Amino acid sequence: MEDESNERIPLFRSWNHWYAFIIIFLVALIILFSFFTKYFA
Amino acid sequence: MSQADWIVLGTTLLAIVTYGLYKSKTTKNLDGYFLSNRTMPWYLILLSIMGTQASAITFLSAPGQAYTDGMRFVQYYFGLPLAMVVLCITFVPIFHRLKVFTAYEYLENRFDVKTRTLTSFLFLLQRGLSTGISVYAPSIILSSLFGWNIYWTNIFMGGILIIYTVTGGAKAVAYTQQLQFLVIFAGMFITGWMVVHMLPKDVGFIDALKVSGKLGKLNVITTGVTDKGFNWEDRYNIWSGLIGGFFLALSYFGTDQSQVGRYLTAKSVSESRIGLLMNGLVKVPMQFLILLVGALVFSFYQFNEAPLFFNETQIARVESSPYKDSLQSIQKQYKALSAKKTQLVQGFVSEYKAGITSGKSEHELKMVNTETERLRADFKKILQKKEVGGDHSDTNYIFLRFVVDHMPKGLVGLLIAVIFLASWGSIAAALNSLASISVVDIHKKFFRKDSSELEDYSTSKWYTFGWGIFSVFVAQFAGNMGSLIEAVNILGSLFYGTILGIFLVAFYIKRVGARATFWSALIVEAGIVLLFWKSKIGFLWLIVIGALGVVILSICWEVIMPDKQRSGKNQHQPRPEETG
Repeated sequence: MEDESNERIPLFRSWNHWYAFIIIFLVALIILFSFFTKYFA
Repeated sequence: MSQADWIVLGTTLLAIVTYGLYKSKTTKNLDGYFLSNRTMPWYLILLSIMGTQASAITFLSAPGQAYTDGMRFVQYYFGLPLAMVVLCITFVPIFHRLKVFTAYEYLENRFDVKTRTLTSFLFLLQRGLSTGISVYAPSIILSSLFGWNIYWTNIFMGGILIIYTVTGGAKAVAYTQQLQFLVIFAGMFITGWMVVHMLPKDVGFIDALKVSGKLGKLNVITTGVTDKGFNWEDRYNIWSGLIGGFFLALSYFGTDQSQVGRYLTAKSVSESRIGLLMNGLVKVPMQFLILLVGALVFSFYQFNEAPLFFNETQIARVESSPYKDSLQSIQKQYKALSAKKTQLVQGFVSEYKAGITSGKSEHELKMVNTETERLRADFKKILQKKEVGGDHSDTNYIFLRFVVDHMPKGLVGLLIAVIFLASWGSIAAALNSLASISVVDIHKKFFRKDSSELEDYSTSKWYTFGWGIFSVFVAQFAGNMGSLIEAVNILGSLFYGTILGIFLVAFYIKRVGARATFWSALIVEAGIVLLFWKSKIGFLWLIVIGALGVVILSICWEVIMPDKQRSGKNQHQPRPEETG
């Protein structure tokens, strides 16, 4: 297995950016689902 | 099933077993057998963790859940992406750095052998029994629908996958899960498309959504708040999903070896992380789409007569019971209401398309649906009579009944194959993890410490085989366990909280030692069993209480009765995560 410190992070500059992206994506999904629920109710 | 269905089913299953055997070449040691020599790329990790989590019940139960209770079940997964982030920050780097085979191996480094063994034992108990139920749950549904012998269905469901799981270990599990997922997604996508295609000609996808939305089935976001405040017994709302779902996902992906064993096969920490984070991205939308199929099936049954009860075996039971006349009366009323419903829904769609917003047809449609639900509830009351007995919930039968009654020849076979493959994916990973814990945490620890690599490899195969036989054996007796999904969920929620609590203390509270953690875990576990027995609290909350209980109690224990022996020892022996 490679040493963690030498590994390249795909797509983003740091893992923290990845984590922020996941959380923002979840919040966006919840907002989208709220609109979906209201629109079809 | 038609001949075409049998051919599709047989060919698909044979292809998977052959592929599993073809991919089963590993090095003959524990690293090769349980961790694929740590060579897997992120996309195989992703498919493997998704294939392990998604059992047959996921694909059978979720559409039925949307049909009966709406799409709010998706909220159950809201905590999962957050848990993936925490796992990537804490759990993954530590497990990789220490090069552990099992998650519980780490607990001996951090605490002692007693805590490691306790956690391993709790896992074996919970996972061993729940794997048996995972074999039985889809078997009983297929057996009821097609009249297959339940014992042979169990043997087929839990037995065939043993061939490639024993031969190829983790590598065969991962590669077959990849192929299984492709078939599963193809099957679900075609079904969703077919449901819309089978609606009346002037009714499109959005119209179908309008129908199910107006009838309360697109309730994706709910708050759980009623006039009397927050309902703690409400299982699926945004708060139980975010908080309870977070703890559930953290314990399942972080401490359950059936999942930990998947991402430990990654060739690097980055590959593990990407696999888990991608799971956090795709899991919620995937569940949303599976539930959407259920909502569309609901719309389909507004335009077509739905069965009074989707498990026909239960209808046959009532027909041969003293309640036969009551059934006939219910069926007569139900048929009349179904005809009325078909007319009303057509009227509703026409009004909606014409922009008429009087709400009259919508109101009438809602009233008729309430009435049909009342009749279904009356029928379920009959099923609860002791002269009838059996399962009074048909949620798991809705989707498959729809498939069998309305899907074209060949596609039925493919969807039955989907059920088998989804089952095999999760059961194979469970067997692999049960064997790894048995060998690494128990056998090598207590019985054969100095065994050779080849002996370990051979022992691992025997343990995998043994757990496979055990699961099929449990499945043969699972008929007396009542509601099966509930049984799996309860088993998980009874143990996950305590196990997660132990790991949270291990990772985050360095001042707490082995003695405080071990006894706190035992006390909290007893408390959780008592709480489950004496209260009606939603099962997701048991995990939260269990995890926080172990953390809080162990801190208090350490403060009140500090382990002096440990304090001295730690001055000279830093913990593994500190040394890296």
